[in-house]
Amino acid sequence: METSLKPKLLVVEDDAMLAKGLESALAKEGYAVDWVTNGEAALATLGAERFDCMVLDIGLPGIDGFEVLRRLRVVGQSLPVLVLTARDAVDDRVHGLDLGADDYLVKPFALPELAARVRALGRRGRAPAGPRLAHGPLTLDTAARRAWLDGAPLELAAREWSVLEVLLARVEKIVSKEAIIEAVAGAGEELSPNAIEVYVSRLRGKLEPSGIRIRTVRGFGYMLLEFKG
Amino acid sequence: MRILIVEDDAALASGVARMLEAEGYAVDIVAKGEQAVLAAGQESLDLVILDIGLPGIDGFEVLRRLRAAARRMPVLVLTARDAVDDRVHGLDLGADDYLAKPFALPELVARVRALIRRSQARTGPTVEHGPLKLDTVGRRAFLAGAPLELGAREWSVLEVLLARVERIVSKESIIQAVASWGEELSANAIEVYVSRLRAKLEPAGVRIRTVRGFGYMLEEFKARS
Repeated sequence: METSLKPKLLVVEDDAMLAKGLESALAKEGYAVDWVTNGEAALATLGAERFDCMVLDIGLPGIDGFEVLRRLRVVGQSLPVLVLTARDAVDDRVHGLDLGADDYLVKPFALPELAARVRALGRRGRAPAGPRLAHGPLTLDTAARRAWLDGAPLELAAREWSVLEVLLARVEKIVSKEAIIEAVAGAGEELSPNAIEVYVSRLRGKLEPSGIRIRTVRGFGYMLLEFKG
Repeated sequence: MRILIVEDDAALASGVARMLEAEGYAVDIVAKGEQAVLAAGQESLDLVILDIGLPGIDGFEVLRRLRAAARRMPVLVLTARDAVDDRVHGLDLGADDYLAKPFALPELVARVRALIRRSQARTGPTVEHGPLKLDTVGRRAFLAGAPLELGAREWSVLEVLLARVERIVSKESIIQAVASWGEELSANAIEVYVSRLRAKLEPAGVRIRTVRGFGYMLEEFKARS
C-alpha cells in the first residue's frame, strides 16, 4: 500500500551549515525533513513521532551518535539509520554498523551519493513486507512499523504503537495495566498507569471513528474488542 | 545464510569468501555476470556481493536483470569504480550498498551483517528466543544467561530455524542455507545437527518439532508453569 505522505527524515547534526545544506537537498528529493542538533533531542523526537529514516552524525554535544543508535535499537526502534560522520577509521565504521546502523558514509561526501543511499534505505525498509497484523480496518506492518486505517496511513507515536501491539496480541482478552507497562517501558524507566491511560485515550481518538473499540475494565486494565463491521 | 560472490579476480574472491566463511556464511563464487543471473534464479540466496567490471555482461546489467526478475535479496556492489556517478547509478539500479575498492575486509563483513539483519527485519545484533540469545556479531550464544557452545554447523542450522519461528522449514532449504556449492550435505547430516541442538536446547524448554517427511519447526517459546 502506498502512502501519499512524504517520507519523513530526521537529520541529527550539530553543524548548522551542513544541516541546512542537507535539509534543502533532501527536501528537493521529496522528503519532509526535521533537524535536531543533539542526541537527546533526537531520542525525544523519535519517541514522539514516526520517521522513515534518520541521518545521524557521531560527534555531537552531549551523548554521541553511537549512544543514540544503541539506545534506539535497545527499545526496538527499527527505522533505517545512515551514519554520516568525519570519523572514518575502519573500527568506527564497523562499530557503527554493528550497533545497528544500516549505512555509514564518511565526510566529506557528495550530496548525490547521500541522496542515493537514502533512497536505497527507503526501498530496503519497505521491500520485505514484514509480518502483518490485521484487525478489521486496521493493518500493522510490524517490521516496518507502519499502520494503516481504512487503507490510509495512520500516524502512531512510538508508545501508542507499543500499547496497540500489546492489545492486538490479545484481542477479546483483558490486559492489565501492569502487563502493558511491562511491555512498553524500557528497563529502569518509570511509567505510571496514568501514562497508559493517556496512550489508550489517544488510541481511542484515532481508532474509534473506524469502529475499533478498546474497552476499559475497571480497576484492572483494557480489552480490545473483536471488530464487528 | 548463503552468499554469492560475483567477482572475476579469483584471489580477491577467495579472500572475501574465507572471511565470510569464518563468520559462518555459506559462500559461492562465480566469475561472470551470466552465471550470477543464472545462480540467482536457481538458488535461494540471502545476499549477493557484486563486482561491476566483469567479462561479458557487467555488474550493472546483472543488477538490472536481478531486479527486473523481482529478485529482492540484498546486493552489495564491490568495485574499483568509485566515481560518484557510478555509485548513484548502482544504488538507483537497486543495489543496497556500494563499497569502493580498495576496502577493509572488516568493513565489508560489517556491511554484510547490516544488510542481512535488515533483510530479516531485525534491528540489532542480537536475536532472542525465550531463554536463548544469539549475538550475531560476536557469534556467541547464551542459554538462560550461560554461554552455550555451538558447532559452526549447529549455529547455521539454528539461525535458519530462528528466522522462521513457528514456520516449517524443509530439510532442503536448511541444506541450501548451510552448505556451499560442491559440498555434499545429506539430509541425514541435518538430522544430526538438529538432534545435537535439541540436546542442548530442550532442557531449557526451547523445542524443535519434527514435521515428518518435510523438515523442522522451531516452536514459539512458552515458559513452563
